Amino acid sequence: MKRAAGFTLLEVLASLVLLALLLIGVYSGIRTATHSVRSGTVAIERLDQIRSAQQFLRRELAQSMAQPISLTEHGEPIYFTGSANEMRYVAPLPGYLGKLGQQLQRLQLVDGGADGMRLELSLALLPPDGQPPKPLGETQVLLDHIKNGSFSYSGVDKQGGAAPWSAAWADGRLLPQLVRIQLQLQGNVGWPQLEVPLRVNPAQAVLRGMPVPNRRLR
Amino acid sequence: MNRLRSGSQQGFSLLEVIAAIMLLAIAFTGLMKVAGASISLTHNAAEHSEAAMYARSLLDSAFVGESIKSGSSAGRFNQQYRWQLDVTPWNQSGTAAPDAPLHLYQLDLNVLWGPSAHPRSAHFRTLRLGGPDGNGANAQAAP
Repeated sequence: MKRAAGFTLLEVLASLVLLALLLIGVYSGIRTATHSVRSGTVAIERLDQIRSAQQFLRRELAQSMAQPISLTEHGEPIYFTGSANEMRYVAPLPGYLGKLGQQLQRLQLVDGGADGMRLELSLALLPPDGQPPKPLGETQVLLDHIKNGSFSYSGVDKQGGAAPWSAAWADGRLLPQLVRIQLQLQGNVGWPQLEVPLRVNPAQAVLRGMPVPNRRLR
Repeated sequence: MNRLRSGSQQGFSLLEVIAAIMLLAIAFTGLMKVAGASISLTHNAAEHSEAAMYARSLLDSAFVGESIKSGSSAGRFNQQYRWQLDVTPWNQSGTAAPDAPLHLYQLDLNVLWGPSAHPRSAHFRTLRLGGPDGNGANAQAAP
């Protein structure tokens, strides 16, 4: 009886080695691909976060209005307060959120511990009868994982002279002309420096002797 | 029968196997190229949107609180991105009367990044209203 000729051991071993090499190549290729897809997704999500935070801040700051937040000791209205890591202003929310009218917004850079700093926004309602602002909802985190950052302001002072960039807005009776938000983020996606012009300028209205639309404060 | 079986038992020759593996390798390389291209496209899109955010801030805050004047200027946003701004009077609908209180200016912004020999660039344009000799009258126009 004729024996069926099979593979020799050597041939089988050689073929197994070849197959193993091939599989190693394919596997490492697929792993690299999944890894890069994942890191790409993370980068895109981060960029989306940054862009939406910038868009929101740009719209809100540009629409900020000359609505008194509080009064100075001489009874003059304060429209805007700003320091290196906190600012307060009044602005309407976008239509689908802004059913309650204009709101006092407080934007803060707070230290969030191990996750770095956070850019947070809290809202408060301004009651029309001049009572103190009522907090509305919870604090919203606009952006997290921030290494450090600061706000700065520039504009025109009461005498009409230029107020150069500084880390605090000195005169709350006026709105700054430009607000700048500089942040350094963790990771390799950068925060493009945000500069927003404030459209409403009570300074010029006051300087020209025009009445500023005013809310009665108690 | 015997001949038939010996024919069916012939198996692949080494050459055929190598050819098959080569084919597989080529197909897999092509697949990897596509993945790499999509990654680099993502990167490219991210760079463009970062450039757009820089440009938005610059065009928004240009000439706020100061008089507008034509000319060109340039600078850097950071180590990667640089910009070039050209301001020209805008008179597409005929020249404005010289005594008109307000004139339109066209702001052309080029954001460049990448190697200086073959930079990538994005171009942005907006219109701005200003006084004829820049007496501070300044308003925003649609971007």
